[in-house]
Amino acid sequence: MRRTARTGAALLALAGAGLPAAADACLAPDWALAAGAEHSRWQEHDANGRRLVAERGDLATLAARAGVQCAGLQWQAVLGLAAGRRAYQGQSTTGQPVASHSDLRRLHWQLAALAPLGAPADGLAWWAGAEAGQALLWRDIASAGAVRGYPERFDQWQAAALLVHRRALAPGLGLQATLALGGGPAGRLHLHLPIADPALLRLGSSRLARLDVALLGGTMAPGLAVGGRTPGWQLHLQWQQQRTGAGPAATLWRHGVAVGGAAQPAWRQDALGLQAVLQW
Amino acid sequence: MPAQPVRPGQPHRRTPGQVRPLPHAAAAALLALLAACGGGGGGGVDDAGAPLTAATITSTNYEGVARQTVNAANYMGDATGLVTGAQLAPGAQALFTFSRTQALRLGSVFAHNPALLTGATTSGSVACSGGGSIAARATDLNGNGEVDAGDSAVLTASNCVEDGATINGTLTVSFSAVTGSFTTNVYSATVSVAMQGLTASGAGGSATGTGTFTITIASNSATTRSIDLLAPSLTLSGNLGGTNDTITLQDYHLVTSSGVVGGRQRSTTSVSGGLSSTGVAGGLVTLSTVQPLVQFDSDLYASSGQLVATGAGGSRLRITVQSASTVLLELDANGDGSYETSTPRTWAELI
Repeated sequence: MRRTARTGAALLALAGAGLPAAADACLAPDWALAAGAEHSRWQEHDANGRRLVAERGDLATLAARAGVQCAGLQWQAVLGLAAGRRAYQGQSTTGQPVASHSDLRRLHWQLAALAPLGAPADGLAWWAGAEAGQALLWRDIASAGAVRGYPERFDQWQAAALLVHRRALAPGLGLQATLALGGGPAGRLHLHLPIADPALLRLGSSRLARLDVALLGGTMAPGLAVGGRTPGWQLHLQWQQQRTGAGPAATLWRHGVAVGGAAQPAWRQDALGLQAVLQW
Repeated sequence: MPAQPVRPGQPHRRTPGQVRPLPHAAAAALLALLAACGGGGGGGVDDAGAPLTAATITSTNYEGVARQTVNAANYMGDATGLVTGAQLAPGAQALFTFSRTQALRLGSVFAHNPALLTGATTSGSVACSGGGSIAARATDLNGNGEVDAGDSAVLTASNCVEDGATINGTLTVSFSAVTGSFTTNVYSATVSVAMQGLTASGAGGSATGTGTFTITIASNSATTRSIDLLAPSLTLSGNLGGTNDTITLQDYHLVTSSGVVGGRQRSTTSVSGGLSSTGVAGGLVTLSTVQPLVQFDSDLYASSGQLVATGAGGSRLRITVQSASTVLLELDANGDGSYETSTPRTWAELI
């Protein structure tokens, strides 16, 4: 987690300080802090589509963002944290129903670049671009009676195409909608079962869809730019769905002896979040 | 065994589809013997057909030997498992659990569906809880609708999803020397079970059992019973996430009894015989019980007992249960009678 956090922080610093210093064409960086909550749902399914696990719960979210506009391109770096608990309804490995909970921590960073699609007109502006980043998710499933739980850590890289629409609603008030569609290659799962040494499992590839609608308060940046050093506030309502395919089976070892096999089933994660953002 | 003609009236006592649960004793006998089967047919040979030779227990394999030993002593126990996040490969107990569950349903086959009746042999199919089915062909030798000596059943599972595993393959169960009534808690029975490529599979791997074993079960009350399992040779082939492991039980003998002691339900288990695992020691170690494993129903694991595994050259592993949560592993690798290595482990690390 420290390494990823360092990476994200470095990107923030790069976006906020390094790039503008290096390029004369860059405007002064803008900064933002976001805090909010997210309702998270998680479902796992076996190869026949049978649901194995369903989790739902709320996470608190916190994010820092740095942006800079250089030569017409808007660069943004985001470092985000989330933590919370989901109720777990699933089954044991022997097929018995289990009710428990999982404690979650998530760390992610993203780097995004946006370019204007033509000149803004009539208070409307379109931007397109791409983002890429890494997400680490710590999931600690609690034991339920005699059925033992264990911690997991998911590690995934993802990229997405972005389409942003901005419009001025009134003086000092705007609306922004962002659509992200993308996915990522096979990630990794660090599995810590009580019966085996820590294991590294491969995940399937992932698909991602996100829609973010934000109310923008304060002075709009010239040209309705996504970034720009324009103090203000934002209120974001965000929906995101991620589907990840099942990974291949891997052997579980204990002191060099095979003691089992494991595979991560396909899962789908839906999140609906609300964030308040302060920008300066 | 020859089928007997149907006696008028007897096979038609129940309506089609009506399930009469298999009497507890029969179910218990079946599940126990099925649970006991780890697969068979190896005949004391390795995968290549060569006779099994004794393996030396060393500092590098003794923990694996310990794990196999305590699992072999727990084949008839209940598996609690882990929560599902990742999916794990079914182990031997998946086959056992399946066998138990299906044994409990065998009564429906003995209930004689008239439409399918042929002599005293009844055929039918039962659905599995998670999909798939089991084709059942049961022979009620005397046509009395009860499980008694001479009765048998062949159960063939087709993509049958039960207890977190997908089961395929065939299980044959034959009763003999039945006394008492399975509808009561006072009975005894000797049963032979053959697993014919019975496979439990999941996303993480699979376990396949093939072979025959015999079990004798005696029940004196609802809380007191004993099970004696004898397996001349049983083999369980496992695919653990792409890594193969074959466990062979040779002249394996498991005795477990349960009863109420001091107001608590208590079970004692003794195990003896040969055990080999291609993935652990690569040869045979001989198990013996110094003190039976004792477990109370309120505990997840045994709280006392001592087992010894002996390998080539007198190498030995002693497993001493310290509590319902911890076990002490002691190794005498050079066979000099002195345990030079001592390692505490939790039960959870072993089972």
